[in-house]
Amino acid sequence: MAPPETSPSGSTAASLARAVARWGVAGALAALTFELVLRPIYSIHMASDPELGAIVAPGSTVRWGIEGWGTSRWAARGIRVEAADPSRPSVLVLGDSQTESLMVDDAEVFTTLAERRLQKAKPAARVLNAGKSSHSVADYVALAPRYQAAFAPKWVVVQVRDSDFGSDAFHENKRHFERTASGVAVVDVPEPTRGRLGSLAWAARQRSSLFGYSVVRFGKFRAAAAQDAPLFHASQAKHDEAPTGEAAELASEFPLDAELDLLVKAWDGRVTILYLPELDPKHPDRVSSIGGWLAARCRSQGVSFVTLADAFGGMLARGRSPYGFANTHFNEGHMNAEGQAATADLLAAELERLGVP
Amino acid sequence: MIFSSPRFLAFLVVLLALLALPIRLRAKLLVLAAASCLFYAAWDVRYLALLIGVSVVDYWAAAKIHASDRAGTRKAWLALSMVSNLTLLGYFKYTNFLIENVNGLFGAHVPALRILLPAGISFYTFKTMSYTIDVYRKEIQPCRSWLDYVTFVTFFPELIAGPIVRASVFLPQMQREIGPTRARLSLGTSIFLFGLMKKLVIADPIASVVDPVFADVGAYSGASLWVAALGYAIQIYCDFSGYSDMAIGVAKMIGYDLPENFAMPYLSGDITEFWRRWHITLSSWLRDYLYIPLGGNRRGLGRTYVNLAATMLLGGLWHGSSWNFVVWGALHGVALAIHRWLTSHPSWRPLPNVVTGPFTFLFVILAWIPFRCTTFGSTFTMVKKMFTLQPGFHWVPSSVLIGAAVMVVAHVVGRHVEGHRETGGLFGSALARVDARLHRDAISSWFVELRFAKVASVYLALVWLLTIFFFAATGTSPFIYFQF
Repeated sequence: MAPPETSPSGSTAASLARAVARWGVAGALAALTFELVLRPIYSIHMASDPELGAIVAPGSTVRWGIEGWGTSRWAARGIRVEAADPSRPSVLVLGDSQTESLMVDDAEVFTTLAERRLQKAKPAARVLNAGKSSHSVADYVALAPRYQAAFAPKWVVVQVRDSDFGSDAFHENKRHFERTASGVAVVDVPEPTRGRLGSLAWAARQRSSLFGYSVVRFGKFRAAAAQDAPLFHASQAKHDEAPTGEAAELASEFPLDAELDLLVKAWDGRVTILYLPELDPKHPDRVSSIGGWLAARCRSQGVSFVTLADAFGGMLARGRSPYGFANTHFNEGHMNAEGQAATADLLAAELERLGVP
Repeated sequence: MIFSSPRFLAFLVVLLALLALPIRLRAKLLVLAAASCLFYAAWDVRYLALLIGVSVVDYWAAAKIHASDRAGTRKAWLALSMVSNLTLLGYFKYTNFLIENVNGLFGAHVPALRILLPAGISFYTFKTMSYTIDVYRKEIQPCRSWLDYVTFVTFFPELIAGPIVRASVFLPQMQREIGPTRARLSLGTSIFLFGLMKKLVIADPIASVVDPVFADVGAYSGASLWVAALGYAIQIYCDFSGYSDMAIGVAKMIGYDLPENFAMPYLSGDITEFWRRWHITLSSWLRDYLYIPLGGNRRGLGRTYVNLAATMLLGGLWHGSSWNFVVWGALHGVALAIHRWLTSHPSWRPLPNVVTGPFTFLFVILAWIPFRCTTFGSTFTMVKKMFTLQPGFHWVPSSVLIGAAVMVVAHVVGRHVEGHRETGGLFGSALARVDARLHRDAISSWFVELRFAKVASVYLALVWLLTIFFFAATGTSPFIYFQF
């Protein structure tokens, strides 16, 4: 019997179907491959806490290899590492991504190291790491009652950097300070609500490293494209100017004293300010004037103050850097294991001096 | 427009679509020339006139040379072409260098001029000079129309940073039909992606960590400086050969074949072999238009050494207006002369490549130091700290180690492939099983053509694309050779 004849349109359709199937199967396999490749590099599940906002999902493990290489486990309410003995009193550490420290392992983060050092001699306080990327002084003030209610800490440590009292605390897209006649007040900005599609995308982002990291990468490519030289006039390309951030300028622009006073008041004075300086490796002894202002203000107001300026400066003088990882840049970005250890030593010493339980 | 930018990809897609239209070849050449001018003007529109001007002068000079039988007249037109090109190159590239040196030597205070170096001037002046010289030597016929010539001169894939394509290679191809075909797109895209990977996944991440070290060599430890020197050797290879791959790939998509520019140079067993494998189109240009006219090796050993040194000195200066480039050229010139002296000795017995290769690579790395450092002072500081292992900031970036590992694997594959030219060896047959084809005949010695007839080959292509998407540096940093 002769084989049935196939019309040209039929063969085209069949060939198209084969191509679609081929690309579909190959695409699925490639996606699976990269899902597996990216899991150790970018795996972070976020959840929404009714009082604290977006937090790392309780009980989840974050794997971070974009900067450094860290694995962190997260307990309820955005606290890093499950507490060993919940009955013991706690020291709550607030801060931004430097405290959150996704880029180092749990055993290397300064809060874990400080807790170990405190507990060397006797059973002592738990050190709770509530670090959250992009938080600023405005968040530490606004969230104080909620953190009080949730953890009832005996003492609070607030980690700050040069930018924390400046533009970071006045960014209108997030919780921020606003000037008032008497100084400053906090403005709470609610979490953005998502539509149905947005919720689906959000859920997919939490479950898939491939999807989550794709969103991050698209953002980076878009930002890079915006920096392209102007077409037809390359010689007129503008270069970024170095940020100044000097205290004299900031003091005229931002109500620094009022911000610090509000922060200390929010925690009834039971607070230690932990200052992480950003030092120029070539001049490790030069602290920014913000650091100088902060030290002087804390001293005059009797506020506990820890600065890493000398410790970090000493490290740089020995050729080591407190910031940066092998897969990023020298002395840039977040604290590495050496920076974390130095921070833990000074913080534990200060807590011991204060007689924190 | 940088090849690795989204703007360029949009530009390329539109151009290929236009070249796919069923129009006459002359119309396609017109489209191509216009697109090339647009590509060049996108950098800075003011210098497009300069490029067009150069093409007018050299087209005219070559036509006059060809039309005349009188030696004097022919020489005069050739001289006009040479003088006009070298004057342009000299003015834009070396005026401030000259002023700086006059000021330094005589204590003068001549102010530097505000000159913006036109992109690709070193490349296109060499290209146009080779055209008039070849017409003068009667090695090629001049272009029949200015459209052909301007299409050749402005051909955008290699306009800014090579490969330096000679008229004798390009002009005969202009008779063929151009425009994208399935085979051209498959091959061209594969080579382009190969180059894109080298640039974005290897060279740019290394640049971001090596640049700060070279900017402040005094601050870093000797060990870190060794790592930085190795990093730069990998960066410049992947950056420049990546650009060449992308240029060759784009040209293939359009329908033209450009000459290979690199052939695994870091596998070279000696410095002479290195220059047969590194920036091949420049080294062959310097050989044919400088070294041989100077006398080459035909006037005795002593003169050969002088010619080698002079050629390499000028080759160094071609890269930029700095004594550091001259030192780099001199180092290579001296090394070539020493190698020539050794090999010409009757008792010379060559050692195997496995012994001499590492020393050659070490020499090349060390020679990159003056090339990359901006001053003599930083060059001396770096070399001194490296050899005395002085303390300083300790910094071993992983991107250099990853880049080095990838390079080792790529070169091992390349060496294996070179030894199995017919089949591609194990690697070639493994790829054949997944319907990907190994090419061994040009361009970085080997590359993989991505084809889409089987699930495995589509999978390979997608993995390739995803690797670039997830692991590429995101900033569109210019290619190193754009500054030359």
